[in-house]
Amino acid sequence: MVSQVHRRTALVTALAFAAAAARLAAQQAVGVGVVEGTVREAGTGRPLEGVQIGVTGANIGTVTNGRGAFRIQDVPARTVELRVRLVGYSPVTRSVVVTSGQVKTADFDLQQSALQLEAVVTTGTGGAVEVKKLGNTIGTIEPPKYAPINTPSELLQGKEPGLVGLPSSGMTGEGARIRIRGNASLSQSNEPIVFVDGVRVNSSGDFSFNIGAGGGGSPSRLDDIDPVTIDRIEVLKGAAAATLYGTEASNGVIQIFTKKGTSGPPRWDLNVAQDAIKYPTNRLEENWGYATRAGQADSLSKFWGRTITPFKPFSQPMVADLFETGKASTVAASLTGGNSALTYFASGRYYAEDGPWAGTRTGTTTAADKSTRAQGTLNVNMLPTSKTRLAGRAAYTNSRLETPNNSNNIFSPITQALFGKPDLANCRNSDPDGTDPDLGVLSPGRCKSAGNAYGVQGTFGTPNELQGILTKQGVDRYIAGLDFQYTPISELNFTGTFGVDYTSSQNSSFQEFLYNVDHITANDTAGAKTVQDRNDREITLDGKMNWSRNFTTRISSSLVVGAQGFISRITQPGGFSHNFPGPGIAVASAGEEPVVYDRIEETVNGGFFAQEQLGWADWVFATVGARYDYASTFGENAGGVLYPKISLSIVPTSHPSWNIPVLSSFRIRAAYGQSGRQPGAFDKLTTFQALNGTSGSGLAPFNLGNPNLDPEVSTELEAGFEAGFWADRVGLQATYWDRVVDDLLVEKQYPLSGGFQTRQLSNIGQMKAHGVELSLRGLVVNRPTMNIDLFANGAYLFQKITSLGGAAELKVSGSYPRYRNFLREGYDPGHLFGAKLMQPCRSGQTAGCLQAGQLPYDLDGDGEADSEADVRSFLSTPTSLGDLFNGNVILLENGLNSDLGKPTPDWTGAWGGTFTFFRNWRVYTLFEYKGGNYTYTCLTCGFRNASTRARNSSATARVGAILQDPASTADQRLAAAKEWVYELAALTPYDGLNQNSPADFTRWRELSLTYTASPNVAAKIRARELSITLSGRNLALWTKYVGTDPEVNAIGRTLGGGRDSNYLDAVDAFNLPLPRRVGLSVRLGY
Amino acid sequence: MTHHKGQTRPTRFAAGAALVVAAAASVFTACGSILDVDNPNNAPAEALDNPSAAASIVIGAENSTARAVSSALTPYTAATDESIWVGSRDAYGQLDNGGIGDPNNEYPDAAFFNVGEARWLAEQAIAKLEGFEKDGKLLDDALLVRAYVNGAIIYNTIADIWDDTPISDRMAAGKNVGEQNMSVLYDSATKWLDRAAAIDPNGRVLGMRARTKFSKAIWAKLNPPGTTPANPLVNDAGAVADATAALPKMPGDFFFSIETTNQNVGDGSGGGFGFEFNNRGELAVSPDLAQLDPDDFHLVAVTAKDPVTGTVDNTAKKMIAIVAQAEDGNNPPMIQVSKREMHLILAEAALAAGNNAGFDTNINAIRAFDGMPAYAGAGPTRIQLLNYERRINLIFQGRRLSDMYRFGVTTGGIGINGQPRWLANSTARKQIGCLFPIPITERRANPEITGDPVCKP
Repeated sequence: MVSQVHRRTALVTALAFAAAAARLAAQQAVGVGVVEGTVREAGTGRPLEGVQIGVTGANIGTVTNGRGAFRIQDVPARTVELRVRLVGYSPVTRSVVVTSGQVKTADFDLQQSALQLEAVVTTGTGGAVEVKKLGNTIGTIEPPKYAPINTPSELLQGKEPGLVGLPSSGMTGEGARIRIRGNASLSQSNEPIVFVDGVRVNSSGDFSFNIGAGGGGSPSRLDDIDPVTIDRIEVLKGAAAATLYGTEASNGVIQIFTKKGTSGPPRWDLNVAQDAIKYPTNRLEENWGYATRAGQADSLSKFWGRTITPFKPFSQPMVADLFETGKASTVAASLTGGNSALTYFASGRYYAEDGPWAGTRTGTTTAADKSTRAQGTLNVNMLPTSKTRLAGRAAYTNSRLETPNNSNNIFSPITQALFGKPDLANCRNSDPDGTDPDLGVLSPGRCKSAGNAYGVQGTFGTPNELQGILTKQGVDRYIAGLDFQYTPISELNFTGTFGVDYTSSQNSSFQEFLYNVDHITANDTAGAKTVQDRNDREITLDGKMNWSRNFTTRISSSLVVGAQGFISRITQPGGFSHNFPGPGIAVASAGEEPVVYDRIEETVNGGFFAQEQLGWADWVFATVGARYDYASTFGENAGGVLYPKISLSIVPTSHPSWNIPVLSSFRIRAAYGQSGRQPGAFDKLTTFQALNGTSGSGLAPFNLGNPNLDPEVSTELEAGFEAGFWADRVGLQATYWDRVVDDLLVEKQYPLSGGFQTRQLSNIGQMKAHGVELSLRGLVVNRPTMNIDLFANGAYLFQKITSLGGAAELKVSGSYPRYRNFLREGYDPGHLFGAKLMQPCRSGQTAGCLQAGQLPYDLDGDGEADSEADVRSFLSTPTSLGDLFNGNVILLENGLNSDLGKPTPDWTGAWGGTFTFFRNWRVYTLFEYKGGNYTYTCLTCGFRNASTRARNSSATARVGAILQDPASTADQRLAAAKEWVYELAALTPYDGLNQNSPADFTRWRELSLTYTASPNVAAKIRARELSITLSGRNLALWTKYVGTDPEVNAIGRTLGGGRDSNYLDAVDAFNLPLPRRVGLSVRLGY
Repeated sequence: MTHHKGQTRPTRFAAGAALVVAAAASVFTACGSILDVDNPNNAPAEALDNPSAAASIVIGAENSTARAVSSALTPYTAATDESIWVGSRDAYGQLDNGGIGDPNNEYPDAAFFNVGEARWLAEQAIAKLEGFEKDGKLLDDALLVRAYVNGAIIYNTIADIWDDTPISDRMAAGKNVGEQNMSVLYDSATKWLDRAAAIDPNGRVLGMRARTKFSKAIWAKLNPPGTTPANPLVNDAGAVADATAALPKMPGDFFFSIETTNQNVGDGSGGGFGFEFNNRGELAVSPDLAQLDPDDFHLVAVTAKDPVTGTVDNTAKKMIAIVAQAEDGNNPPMIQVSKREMHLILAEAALAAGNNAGFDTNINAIRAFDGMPAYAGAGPTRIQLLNYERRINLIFQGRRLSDMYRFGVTTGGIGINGQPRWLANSTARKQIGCLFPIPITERRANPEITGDPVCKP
C-alpha cells in the first residue's frame, strides 16, 4: 500500500513536470523584457541574499543570490510594480518601465526593520497575507545563518516568546518536547502540529511503545528535517490564530517552509563543520564514601591505591570517568538555480555524531551514543504558464541512533555509576577463593577480571556490565508534496496540496549473551532482544480558493474557502525474546518464549473552512472565519464540530493623517478563535484486549468506553500591539492572551475494583490559562563598519485546572511515588505535592507542629516530636544513618500532601543579538532563561543523599561519618542529625522531602563568531562566498538549582500524548547535564 | 455550467470554486464511511456474550488472576520474613520494615490495578459461563470448573492480603466490604468451589476448598486486629474434611500452581513477582534462610536449618528453589494448592485437638517428601515445628503474614540477619493482624468507600 502511494506520487510529479517543461519549451517571449539589479542593506551597503523580488500581478519573481543580484526574465513590457521583501527589512515597492527585448536595471537598498508588519505569512491565514492584516500574532523564525544549530528542535529554542523547547538530558541524538503557551490538554498531546510546506508531518518522537532507553537519547521526528533546507518557520501560538486548522490545533501550529530556489546560474553552497562535545563535569558531583572499619580501610587502600582512613570521607569521579570528548561532523551541500519560469533547490547533508560516552574503565562496550543523519531534499518550482504554478518537493532522511540506557533506568551504566559507592568497591569476584595477595586488584580502581569496581549494590549490574545493553533506532523517512496553483485572474487563485509523509523506524533494545562480566547483574544474563517497528503514514489533501477584490477604493476583501483532510495510519509490529542459546546471537527469534507485538491505528480528520477579511483604507482590517471539522474518532454518524474565529487589526500609522515621527509604526490587534483536540482513535469504544498466558490467549478488560466523547475545545482571546520607533529601528511587541479549554478530556480513574484499569476519557474538565508575550528588538548601530542588532523576549504563563468534573485528582506516573506531579483542581497542571517537614508552631498552634526546642524526629515512637535533648541522648553513642532514616521517625506536616511548588516557570525567554564589525566579522549570541515560581525535583539528589543504594554525596558521607565515628561528640552528631533531617533525608516514605529546589536559570545557549571573506579574497579560490565560524552551544549555566541541570527531565522526548508526557515536568532523575558543544565550520559558495 | 448574463468573470470563477469545494466536501459527507475506522487491536464488549468465546473468557480470567497474584505476592513477600529488600525502590523497604498500613505504598497500590481487574473478570467469567450452561450452550463443563477455581484463587488472595476491598462494577463504584466482613470473600470462594465440586470433585477443587476454609479460620483468629491470639492454632472441621478428602486425589508430592508468562507478568510498577525477585533483584531470600552474596545479594546457598536435626533442610532447599531457581525466573510457579498444605491443615487441627500423634503423622508425611528424618517430639516443640514447616512449605505462597501474627513472629531487628525487620513503631508491630489497606488509587477513585480503617500507618 505504501509503495503504491509512493509510485503514484512519483508518477503524478513526473507527469506534471513533463507537461510544464513542454509548455516552457513552447513559450515565446513576445512583448517582454528583463529586469535585473542588486539589493543591498541600507547603512552598511552589504549585499543581501534571499531577497524576494516580485512583479505585482504577473505571478513572476525571483530571489537574490549571495551577491545580492537578481534577474527577472519575461517581464511584461510595460510599467510594472516591483515588490522587494526580506524578513527583517522594510519592504520596498517601486515602479519600473520595462521595454520589450531590453534589460532594465533596478537597484534597491533595504532598511533593516525591527518590526515585520509588512512581512507576508501564509500559515493559518488561508493565503498569503501581510502580517499587519492579521488580528493575531504569528511568529516567524528565520534560521540564524551562522548559529550553532544542528536540528529544528534547536532552531526553535529561545527564538519566539511563548515557545519553549524541553530537552531531556543532552544525550546524543535526543530531541526536545515543544510547548507553545503551556498546556492546552490534560490527556492529549500538548505538542503543536507541524507542517512542512503545507503537508502535515509526523512530529512524534521516542523509540516505540516497547522500547526506550530511559528518557534521554529519545529522538524527535521533527529533527529528521534538514535544518539547511529551512527558509523560515511560522508559528501559530493558539486557537485564536489556528482556527482554520480545526481539531488538533489547540496547542499551536508550526509550519516549516523550505527553500524553493533562486533564479540564476547554478550556485553551490558547501559547509563542513567539526564539533567537540563534552559534559560539564562541574555539574557532576564525585562519588563519596567512607570506611567504618580498619580492615575495610586497608582493603580500600589497596583497591584505590591511596590511603583510606576510617571515618574520613573520600571521593572518586565515577560518572565523569564514563565520558570523554565527543565529536560531530557535518558535510552539507546545496545547489540552487533556475530562471523566471523554473527554480530548483537541491540539498544533501550528512551529520555524524559520536557523543561523549566512552564506556567504563574496564572491558569493551556495546553501548554507544552515536547519531547519524543523511538527508536529501529536492524542491522544484515551475511557472508553466503565467497563470499556473507547480511545485514539487521530495525529502528523504536516513537516520541512525544508538544510545546506552540512561536517566531513570536502573539498568543504566550511568545510573549505576551515579549510585556507585567507593567505600564498597572491591575485586572479590576476581579473587573468589580469597587467596590473591592483591585482592584481585589489577591497578588502582581496576580488577584483574570480574569485580565491583564501582561499589554498586544489588543485582542491577555494574557499569561494566550494563554497557552491554544498547538501544537503537534506524529511520527511513520520505516527505513528498505537490502544490498546484492556478490564477485565472489576478484577484482569484486556486491552490491544492497533496502530500505524503512516510516514516519507517526500526527500533531495538539488545543485551548481549552473558554480559554479566562482573558476575553482578541478574537481569536476563543470557541476553534479550526487543524489536519494534513503527511505520507512520500521513496523507494530506488540501484545496482552497482565494478571491481578493476591492469593493470600493477604500474597502478591500479577501475571501478564502477550502477543504482539508488528513489520513494517518500507524502500524507497529515487533517482538521480544530472551535467554539466547549462545554468544553472538543478536536476533529476537533466537531466545526463549518469543513474544509478538502488533498494533494498528488509523485516523481520518478533515474539514471545511471559510474566511472573509475586509480592509478599510489599508489601515483597518477585520476577519471572520470558521472551520467545520470531522474526525473518525467520533465515527461517521457523529457529525462535525464548528470552530469560529474573528479578529481585528488597526494600523493607525498607515492612516494618512498620522504624524508622530518617532512612532514610525503602530498597530493594535485583537483576535478570538476556537480550536480543538480530539481523543484517541478508539477511546470511545468499550473493548477487551487479548491477554496471553500459560494456557493461551484470553479476553481481559481494556477500555471502558464513552460513546459521548467530543473534542475538547480551546477558546482563546488575544490582544496586543506592535510599535516601531525611529523608522522601525526599535520594535516592541506585546500580546496578552487568555485561554479556556472546555470539554476538557479528563482521564477519569474509575474504581479499580470495577475491573477496568484503564482510565476513561470524559469531556468533564476545564482548564484556564493566560499569559503575556513581550518582544523587543533594537537596531542599535547600523554603520558600514559596525552593526549591532539586539533583541530580548519574554513570556509569562499562568495556567490552572479549574475543574476535573468531579473526577479524582490524578497523579502523574501512577503508583510510582517519587514523581510528585499531580493534576489537581485549583492548581497548575503537574503541580508538585509531597513530603515537607513538620514546621515550627505558629502563635496559638499547639498540635501538628514543633514547639520550641523540638526537632522533627520521633525516635522513641511515641508519636510526638523529640526534644533536642532527647535526640542528643539518642546520639550519645555512634549511630548509623539507617537508624535515623528507618521509616516513620521523621515527622511531616501533612503526609505526602504538602505543596512543593510549581514545576512550570512563570517566565521564559531569551536575549541576545548580532554584532557585526570590521565588515567581515560577526558575533551572534543568545541567552535563554526560565524563572519565577519554578521548582525542580532532584531525584538524583534524593538518591545520592538518602537511598541506601547510593548515599554517596559529599554531605551524606560527611554526616554519616560523623554519626558513626566513635570519636565524634554527641553535639557533633546532633548537628549532623539536624543536617540530615533538614537537608538530606528523602525518598519513601518521605517522597518529595529535601528534593526540591528553585530552578531559575540563565543559560548561554548559542554563540558564534564568523569571519566572512571579502569577495576578492573568496575569488582567490574561485569561490563566491567564504566564511569560517567558531561556535559554541550551552557554554555556561547560571542557576541556584542544586541538582545536575534544571533543564533535564526524566520523561524525554516522547511520542507526544498522555499524562506522563505532558506533566512529568521538572524531574531530574539520574540525567546528565546538557553538554557543551564547540565547533568550527567552513562555508564555501560557488 | 450555465453562464448567466451579467455575471462577472471573478464571480464565475468563484462559483466554479464553490463547486470544487462542494465536491471535496463529499469526501466527508457523502462518503461518510471514510470516517468509520475499524479497531483491529481489541474485541468489542459483545464478545463476552458469545458462547463460542467461553474458553477465551475463562483463559482471560485465569491469565488476569495469575498477573494479579504475581503482582500481589511481591509486596506481600517483602512485608514478611520470607524475603528482604535489597534493591533500589524504598517502598519495598517500607514494607520490609513493617510499614504495611500506608495506602500510598506504590506496590500494593499497583498490584490492586491487577487484583481489581482479576476479581471483576473472575466473576464475569463465572456469570457468563453459568449463563451459557443454563442456556445449554456450554459445551465443556470443565471450563466452568476452571472458572470457579479461578474465582476462589483471586478471592482468597484478596482476603489473605488486603484488610478491606470494595466490590465495584465497571463505572459503578461499590462500597467496601469492611475490615470486619472480609471473611465473606472466603464464603464466596467456598460457594463457587461447592459448585465446582458438584461437577468434578478433584484434588485441586477439594484442596482449594480446604485452603479457603482454613484461611477463613485464621482470619477469624486475627480479627479484629490488635493482639497476638492466645491460642494461635486452627482446627476447622470443614477444612479438615476437605483436606482429608483431597489427599487421596493428590498423587505424589502434588502441587497446583498458576504461572505468568512474559505477556501477562507485571504490575504496572515492578515487573511481577519473579522479575522483581530473580531478575531485577529488588528482593532476596531472607538471610536467616540463605547465604547471600555481599555485593549483589544473590542466593549463594540455602542454609535454613531443620529444627529437628539441626542440619540444612532439604525442604527449604526444595521450596525456595521453586521460586529462586525457577526455570523461568521471571515467571516462577505460584503454588495455590499442595498436598503439603493438606497435611499442614490436618497436622494443625490434630495439634489443636491435642492429638500429637496425628500431628506427627502429618508433619512426617511432609518431611518424607524431602527425605528428612521423622519427628517424634524431640527438639522443637510441636507448635514451633508447625510454625517452621508452614513457613518453609508455604513460602512465597501468600500465607505467611497471618502466620507471623498468630505465632507471634514480630521481632527480629534491623540487622541484615534479623527477621522480620519490622520497626518498633511500624503498623505490623503495633497492629497485629493488619494487612494491606485499600490503596490510594482506589480510594481516590471510589467515592463509596466509607469507614475509618482500623489499620493505619
